[in-house]
Amino acid sequence: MSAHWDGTIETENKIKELTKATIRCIPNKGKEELGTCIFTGEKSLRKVLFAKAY
Amino acid sequence: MSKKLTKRAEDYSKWYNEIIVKADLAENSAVRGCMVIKPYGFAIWENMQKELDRMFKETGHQNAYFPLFVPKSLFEAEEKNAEGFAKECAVVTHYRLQNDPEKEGKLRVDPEAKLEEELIVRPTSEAIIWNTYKGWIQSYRDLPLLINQWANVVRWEMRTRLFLRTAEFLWQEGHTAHATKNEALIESKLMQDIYAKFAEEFMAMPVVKGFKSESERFAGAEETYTIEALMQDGKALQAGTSHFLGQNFAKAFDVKYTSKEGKQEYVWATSWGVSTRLIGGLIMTHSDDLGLVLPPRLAPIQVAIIPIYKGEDQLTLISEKVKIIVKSLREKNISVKFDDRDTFRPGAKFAEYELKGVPVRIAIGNRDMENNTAEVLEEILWKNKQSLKINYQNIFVSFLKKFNKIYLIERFLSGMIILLR
Repeated sequence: MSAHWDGTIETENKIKELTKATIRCIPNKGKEELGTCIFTGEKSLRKVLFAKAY
Repeated sequence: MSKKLTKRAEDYSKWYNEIIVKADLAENSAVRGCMVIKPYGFAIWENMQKELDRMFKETGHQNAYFPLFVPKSLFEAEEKNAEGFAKECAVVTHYRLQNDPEKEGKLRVDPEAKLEEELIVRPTSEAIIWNTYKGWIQSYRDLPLLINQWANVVRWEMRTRLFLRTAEFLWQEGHTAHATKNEALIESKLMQDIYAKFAEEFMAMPVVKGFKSESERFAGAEETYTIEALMQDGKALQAGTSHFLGQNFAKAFDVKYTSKEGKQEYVWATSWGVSTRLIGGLIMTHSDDLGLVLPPRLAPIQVAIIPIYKGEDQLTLISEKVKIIVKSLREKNISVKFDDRDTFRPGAKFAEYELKGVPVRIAIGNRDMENNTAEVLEEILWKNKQSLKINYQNIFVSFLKKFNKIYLIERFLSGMIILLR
């Protein structure tokens, strides 16, 4: 899924621990858009792709 | 053929393993975590290699080959890279066996034959290659250096799966050296584009291009560009990566060049690779409960022709006509198999080619000879089967058109699937 991320490794690891989903990539085509991190609610500038991965 | 495949909805992972074994692509081996790639699976890899190799060469790269073993002192030179791979390295410590004095007919490692320095079986080749580049690069005239190698690598994985994650796998690894940061960045993005083009145009597998977060980055890279594909079960597959390595390896191996201005500068590096993992992605992008579905451009057999006959005379008659069709198709670089084995019934042959994902399957019977037609059974990926009657003499023309069409529909459909998810 595409969602905002606050950019910290801590949040990335917590999400991985809880859901097994990792950040697959920060899409090249993603535009800068202000939002809030799906996990911490902190400010975020762009969306990343989260998924469980092979 | 043997029993039916497990349905994807029942157990996706079981379906995946079964389809590989039943379609004769690969099997597990006597070595834990290592697979045997069987002829049909290897033919897919050869087709992938052929296209990728052409794309690399068109963009100025050359192939070379470097050793399988990396002396430990070289391996540890770039610290982050070494740390990242250390936990999954196979290490050679001895070079000789001898008869075991305590067990007759058995061998043991000769304790006298211990290597002075351990050798690491390459998990990736930056270390050995950058140590070599030190001797190749002196001046700005030696740059850029654009090298690729086709090789096997070993990563001691604990949880392995056919094609997706095996202890030994086949891949290509590109290693380039550049005079400027910008040139190296352009190269790493160019290779990401080439991987994306290959995935979409040859595998008909849509991908998202992006870059990795710091924690997912390649050990020793400053940026990792990736192509990520979405599989049928909603999981993502990292299908190819291209790394901007900065000057990390140049500094670790002291690779400098004299610039036009006469200054000594460290060179800039990239590395990039795709592996037999792509075959896992190909399977999980297209195949279904009936078997493998292969995009025509990578299918080892693009057309299978199955004769329907009674007795030798009819087969001879059919074979003569089929020869003409086969010749026409081969002239157009279409790979054809005329399956005249008399040890299998036509039904079994059709089942086999369906399971193996042969894109176009044709039955030719005696009546077709009289009517100058052949029944064409084709399967356009997720589309229902269609039966068409066409003039066999024009068969190759229709094929060419159809191959084009199949390809377009594939892309369209796989694009749709992404949108629907």
